[in-house]
Amino acid sequence: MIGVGEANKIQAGGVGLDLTYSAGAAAGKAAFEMAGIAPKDIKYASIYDSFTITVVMQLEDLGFCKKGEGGKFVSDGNLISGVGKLPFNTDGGGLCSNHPGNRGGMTKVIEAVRQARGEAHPKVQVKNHDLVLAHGTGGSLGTRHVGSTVILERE
Amino acid sequence: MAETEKIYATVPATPGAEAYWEGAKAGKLMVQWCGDCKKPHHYPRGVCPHCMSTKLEWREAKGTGTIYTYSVMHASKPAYVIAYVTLDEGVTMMTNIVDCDPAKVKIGQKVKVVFKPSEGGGKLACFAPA
Repeated sequence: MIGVGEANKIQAGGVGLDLTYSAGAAAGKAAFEMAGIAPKDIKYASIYDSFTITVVMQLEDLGFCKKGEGGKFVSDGNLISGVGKLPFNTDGGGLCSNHPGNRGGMTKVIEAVRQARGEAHPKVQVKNHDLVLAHGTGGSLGTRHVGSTVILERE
Repeated sequence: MAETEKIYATVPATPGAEAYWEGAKAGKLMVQWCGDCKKPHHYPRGVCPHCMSTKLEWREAKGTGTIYTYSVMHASKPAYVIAYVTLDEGVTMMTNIVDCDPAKVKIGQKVKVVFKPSEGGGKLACFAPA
């Protein structure tokens, strides 16, 4: 583990409320600074996928694409292993693998570790898997929530 | 045929928010202001979220604002609109947009407060096109 970041985001009394970014913006920044790497260095990402908008916002907030370009980044196929820039949730994610209640973050870490070790399913194993990331969001994006990012490096 | 008016669920008053709900019952939208940092905040509470002061005061808001964002809940019949409205006083509150066609609601639209009945005789602040 070479980088971690945690942040929360609140309504701040309803003054200056801005829903265009999430706690992931600060959590990701902290984790990348600690790791001394940039988003473009990440070869695989597990991102908590509670809703479509959650993933799109996290892709932007973590710096994998510019703000406002998350939808295009996804529709261009960038999340598909073997095809795109950022293979993502290769266990199938919350819809196609599982969502264990409030422990959704753990399944993200598990698949990131599998990818780093080269132990993911052969059809989705990323070839160069030296740097991987897992990121989770908890709470309600529209009111108050937290974001946590971890960056793992293969020894 | 007139539609039956929607009765909202009762929201229990949290400590420090009693004046907000009493105001709503009387048709007044009450906003808390801090006596120390002089900023408003919403939702109401016992401690200023900006400076942690407990020297808080209540003021009646003008009741006018602008839609910051919204979402239409089509799964509900009839559909309803959940929104964040920024009051002219500067605070943003979560609410419903009512008395209008959900398809015509827009970000930036001017709205004014209307009070809708809730269970047990209370009132809930919603907003309608101004």
